[in-house]
Amino acid sequence: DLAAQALKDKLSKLSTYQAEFTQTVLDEEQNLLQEAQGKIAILRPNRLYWETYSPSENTLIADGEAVWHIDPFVEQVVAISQQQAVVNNPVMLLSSNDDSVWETFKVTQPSKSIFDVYSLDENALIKRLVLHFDDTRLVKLIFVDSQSQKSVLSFSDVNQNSDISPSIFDFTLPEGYDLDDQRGQ
Amino acid sequence: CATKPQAPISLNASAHQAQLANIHQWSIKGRMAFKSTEDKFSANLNWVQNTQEYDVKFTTFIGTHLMSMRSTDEFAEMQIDDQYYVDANAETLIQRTTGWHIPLSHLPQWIKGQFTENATYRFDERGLLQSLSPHCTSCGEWQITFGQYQKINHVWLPHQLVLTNPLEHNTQIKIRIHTWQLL
Repeated sequence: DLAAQALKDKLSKLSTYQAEFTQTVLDEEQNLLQEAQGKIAILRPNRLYWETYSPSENTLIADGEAVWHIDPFVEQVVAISQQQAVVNNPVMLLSSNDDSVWETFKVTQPSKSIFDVYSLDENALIKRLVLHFDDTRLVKLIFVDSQSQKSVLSFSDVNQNSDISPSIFDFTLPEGYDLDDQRGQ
Repeated sequence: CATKPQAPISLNASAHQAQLANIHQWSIKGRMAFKSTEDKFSANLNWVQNTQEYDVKFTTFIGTHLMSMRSTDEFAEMQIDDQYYVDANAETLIQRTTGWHIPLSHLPQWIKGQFTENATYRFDERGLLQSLSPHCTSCGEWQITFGQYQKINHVWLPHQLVLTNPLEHNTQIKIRIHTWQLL
């Protein structure tokens, strides 16, 4: 449909995307559950770097095949296959131009710069995504999960289609960390 | 086991404990990690205490829901993904649904740095609780250390707790508190 195609076109024009973000997470009653700052880098198709800063440091690296979650708090890395990740991770959607993934969502365009994306799969973790553009720049991403928990990501210092060194998407196990490899499952 | 006689606690320790005992409504945001020989797991923690009742929410670091639990005097209820569970108390509920054994009955006091009766304990030179072995019926062999105290509205509150249980596959629970709020 038109809106879905318009969104895919806008996203496909983002061969690379880099930004700083602030994130607030609210529960169903709008209580603030979590706040974070961090940075994101996307190299389409399907490579993503996502890092949250102190005090809750975490890094997520999607290298095209696997998604590596580096958790300094327990000195562990959890690896899952990228297909598994895309379903449950809204940010992964941005880096994926695999049409089959987008078919599981219904897209509407309430205004020129806003896309409202609903999951058609009732047991999907992510129920809804709202993407706000400022002309061609993606400036805000909101997602709501199956427990109506809402996460608002506001992007700043947005840099699109400039070159990114692919090495930031290469994963190496940090010294002394355990690896919980769930790629097989 | 015979607990060694505890030295009488210092004046500022008992004053601080009295201060903590008067705090009944608070909330914390931070991280909780659970480590045993088989499993390691961490999540963002959000805990809101209202006298005897508390609401706990665990979220993933990208901001999606993991688990929420409410404990009242009469029962405990829990939501994990789309599953809903109820039980007489929070401790058995968490053990039944996740397999984790977490000594929840006294955790609201320990989070504040408050010691519980007939425990063995050690205070630091400022009279702040440094370590505790609770010896209470439901507490098993847990040993708790407290750290990173900061003053929040004139009260010293810990921002790091480490609970270890040598008898249970040396299970360790680490709680790092990013923000403390006295409500």
